[in-house]
Amino acid sequence: MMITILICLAGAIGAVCRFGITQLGNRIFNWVPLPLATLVINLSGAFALGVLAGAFAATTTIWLVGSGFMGGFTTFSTFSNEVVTLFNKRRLLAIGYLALTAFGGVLLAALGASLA
Amino acid sequence: MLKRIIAIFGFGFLGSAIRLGLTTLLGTHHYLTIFCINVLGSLLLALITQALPRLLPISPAILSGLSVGLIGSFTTFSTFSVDTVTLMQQAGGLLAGLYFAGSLFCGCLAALWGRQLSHKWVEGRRFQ
Repeated sequence: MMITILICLAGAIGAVCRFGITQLGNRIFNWVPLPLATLVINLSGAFALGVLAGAFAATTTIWLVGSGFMGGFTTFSTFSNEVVTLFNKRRLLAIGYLALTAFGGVLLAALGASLA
Repeated sequence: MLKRIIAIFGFGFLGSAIRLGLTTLLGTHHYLTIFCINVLGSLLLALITQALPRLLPISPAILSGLSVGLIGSFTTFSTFSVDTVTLMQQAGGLLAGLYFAGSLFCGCLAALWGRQLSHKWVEGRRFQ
């Protein structure tokens, strides 16, 4: 029970970190036509979870940091909604963002796992 | 700003708890569970951001809590990426490709549907 609460707390901290980075990204990199903050969050999270999955298979660490923090930090729903929003304005850019996030995430997760 | 952060923290806790509960409860169907969570979350986020503030008097803090916190933490991109790699190693390219492309396609379709549904609801209410 205690570990469950800790995992959810890690998820809550992950969500707040995501919010902070998004706010910062929207202010500093608002000239970039891509949702750069979400891209950086999702790619770094995929890499980090890859490292964790490779190094600590099914231990408390991967539950706490992986399922908890990285789960709360990265987000699929914002990504898919951003693709749709972008698609209505600039189709090619939306497809580029989709491909960059999706393939980049899988490649970085594989790289992380192979490093660990 | 502090109110928004507190709301995101609280709802983020809840979103993680629901995801954890579902993946634990449906542990033998892990990939299908994550797929459903990501697709459902994509739909819900569209409804929450596009329809909810136009239909109900909702405070910006609660709205951030629901969108960034609850749905943001409920869905996960990192697990989706690692799952694709794991499936590729353990079950082969076909299942991995299906999970990968299926999640992306259905997730974007759900977001699109949520947006259209929201516009319909908002328009419907305007002419009542």
